Amino acid sequence: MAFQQSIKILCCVLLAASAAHAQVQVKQAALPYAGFKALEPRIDARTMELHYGTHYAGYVKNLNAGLTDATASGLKLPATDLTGLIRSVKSLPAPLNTTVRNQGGGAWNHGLYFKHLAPPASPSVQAAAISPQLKAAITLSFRTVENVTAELTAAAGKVFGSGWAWLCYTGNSGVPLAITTTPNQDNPLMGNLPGAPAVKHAGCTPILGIDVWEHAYYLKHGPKRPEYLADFWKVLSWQAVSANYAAALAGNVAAMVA
Amino acid sequence: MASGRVINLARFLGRAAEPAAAAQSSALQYSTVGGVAAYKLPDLPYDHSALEPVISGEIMELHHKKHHAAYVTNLNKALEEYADAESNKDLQKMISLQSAINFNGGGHINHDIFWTNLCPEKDAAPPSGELLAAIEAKWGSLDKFTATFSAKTAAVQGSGWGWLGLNKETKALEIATCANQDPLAAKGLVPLLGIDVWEHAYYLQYKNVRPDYLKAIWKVVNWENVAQRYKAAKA
Repeated sequence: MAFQQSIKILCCVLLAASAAHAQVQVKQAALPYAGFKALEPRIDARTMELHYGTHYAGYVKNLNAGLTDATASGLKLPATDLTGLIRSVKSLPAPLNTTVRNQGGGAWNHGLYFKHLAPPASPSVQAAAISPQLKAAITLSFRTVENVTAELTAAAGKVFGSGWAWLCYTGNSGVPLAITTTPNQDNPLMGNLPGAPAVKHAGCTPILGIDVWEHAYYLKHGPKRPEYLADFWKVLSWQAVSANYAAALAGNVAAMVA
Repeated sequence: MASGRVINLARFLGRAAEPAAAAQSSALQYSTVGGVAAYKLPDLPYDHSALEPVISGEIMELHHKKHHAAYVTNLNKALEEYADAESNKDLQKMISLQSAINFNGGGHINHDIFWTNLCPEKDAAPPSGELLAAIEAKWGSLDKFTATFSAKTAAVQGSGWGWLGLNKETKALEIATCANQDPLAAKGLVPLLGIDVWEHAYYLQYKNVRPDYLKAIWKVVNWENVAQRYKAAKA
């Protein structure tokens, strides 16, 4: 009797252990358009190939390696999806916190970026593709679409070194949208990180991200970031940004990057 | 300050002139326009294509004539605005200009050193004498030093620099990394050798394979210049 009890207990312990150590792995988001040439002539195929196939892929690979190491060492992760991990980065122990910040941040940010681009001939890049919901939020926060794109462009132009400019959902119904920037692969979902400069609107949910790391534009534009930014607006899918806004309101942030 | 080329004069002068050469090569060149320093973009000590095949002429030209030049232009603009704000006793404005002075001033300092730290492959020779002895004492061998330096510099997140510096207090060599254009001096180290790992320094040629760039660049490091800086820093 005692022996059977022990076996039962042992099985339960083993099952519980394996559940706790279930592998959390992240995947690259698929491109929602037909291949690396799809954004030509605005974003060149070679940049797309390197940016998606090497930079973004590298972040995902390195994140997954870090997650494997962490769970192998017995760590119980506070979340099982990329967005959850990003949000909880401050609570993670070293070295996983650094891996999630740099590699996980890279994975999240590039997921958002590649998913909200579209061919320049697509109707989704036109202002008419902005949903009434998003339009109302823009009106409340920036008055016009021209204002928000101008301010975002200015913010993206001012980022020194590597980083991102973001249009974020603040959660504030009076001023639902705000612009902020973060260095390297940080993003506002991480909140204010120790040792890093304070992020304006820390904790807000990005719905639009502009990558201003040099690898995003150097092959085509060299140092001329303003020309890249002009190209960016010609392939930015307002339809996708509208969907991101709806997802943010619904609390389904993970969908933006999957 | 005399205007002119920032070149490694030790090649042409006797040993006695070395400290002066090092001092000159480490001093930024400027002219005074209306009482405000207007910094000048130094010429490279070699042609833009001279570091091929390790660093392409295209990269050198963009890096020197666009990136470094922009730091100089923007630094001078910020300093002019700062002088204005100072004369108007506008402290808020002065404070708001600090980051532009840091970014662009740091960019100018760092690149001014960088160009002198490099030379054509045919002119490059490994370190010797006191500098080599100090490197070997600290890291065991030159190879172990370059491997450690490359690994730490490859790990810089985003934009930044890898440095060999001299600790002013301990007089010991140290490897350090800095983010963006933050000057090494802020860490209490005298810069001896800097390697730029902003993507613009290597992307056109090496794409995202920063470790390949860091492996190759040792072929064009001007150890003579590093030795001059080391000597001057210890003095």
